[in-house]
Amino acid sequence: MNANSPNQNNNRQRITPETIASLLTRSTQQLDICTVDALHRARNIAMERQSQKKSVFALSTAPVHGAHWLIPHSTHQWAAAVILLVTILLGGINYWQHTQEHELSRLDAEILTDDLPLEVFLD
Amino acid sequence: MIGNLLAFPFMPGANKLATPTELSQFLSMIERRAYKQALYAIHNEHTALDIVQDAMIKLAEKYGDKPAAEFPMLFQRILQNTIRDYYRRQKVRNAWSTLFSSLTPKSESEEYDPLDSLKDDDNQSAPATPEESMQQRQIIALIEQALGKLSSRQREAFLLRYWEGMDTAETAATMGCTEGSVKVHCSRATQALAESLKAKGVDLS
Repeated sequence: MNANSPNQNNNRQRITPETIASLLTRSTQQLDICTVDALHRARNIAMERQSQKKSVFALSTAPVHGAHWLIPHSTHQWAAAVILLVTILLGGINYWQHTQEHELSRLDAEILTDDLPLEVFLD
Repeated sequence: MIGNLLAFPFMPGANKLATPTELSQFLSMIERRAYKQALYAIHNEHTALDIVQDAMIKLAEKYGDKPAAEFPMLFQRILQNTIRDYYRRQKVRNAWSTLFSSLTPKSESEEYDPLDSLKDDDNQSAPATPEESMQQRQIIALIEQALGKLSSRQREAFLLRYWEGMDTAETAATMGCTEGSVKVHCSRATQALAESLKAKGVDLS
């Protein structure tokens, strides 16, 4: 870039921004030791404070094809999933208790009517 | 040359988060230029060091986990904002000091200015070096003086564009202005620098 004024064409000089930039870069190599040390200390302080993303535990369904949609993605979905699981659990317990009661009542009835086979009394 | 800063080794894994080594490498690459930029703007060594340290800490704390490819732009924005914040605080401080200056004896206020100027003279003086190196140092000192005379926006645009190797769009994003403004600032800065250096008899080729 030629930055001379038009009336100074007889004494032309090329002053390019790149030339200036290269000289400025050289000037950074001429900083005194105290400044360089201070910059080094500043860098170390900054490095001590670098933020790094902490690892977080998360369920991964990536390798399981088609299972990703099963994992709830919002609070509402999580609440619905918990309610569903509790309902299934309570239903299961209820069914198991009912089955046991039914079995006991059947055994009681068979004892009263003497319909039990002999092996039952041997057990 | 300087554009290599933006093409720093990070480019291949642009989305990969930066490791401490990459951040350290980046900071060591830019710390001297950042210090010089702050020094041209502030004209005070200690304050310039403080500003660079603040900018480095902000980058590490807030953006240390960003992809390393984003560091140059982020750091320049932080640095320029920190310099602007200093200007604002200085402006407020100056307003108060001028308010109270009439109440303080003149001899006290006069003591500070010569000390400041003496410090600056010391910075520009160099230890004994070969003749060519001395000439180069003198030219650099003249360039730095000329840079100091530019308006803050012109200097900012010039240094980001030509020294940091940013393109017009990146410079505009960092400065928070339009690309047209960047072009105008750069053009005026270049012209002012050329005229200022020519007046000092510097013949750069």
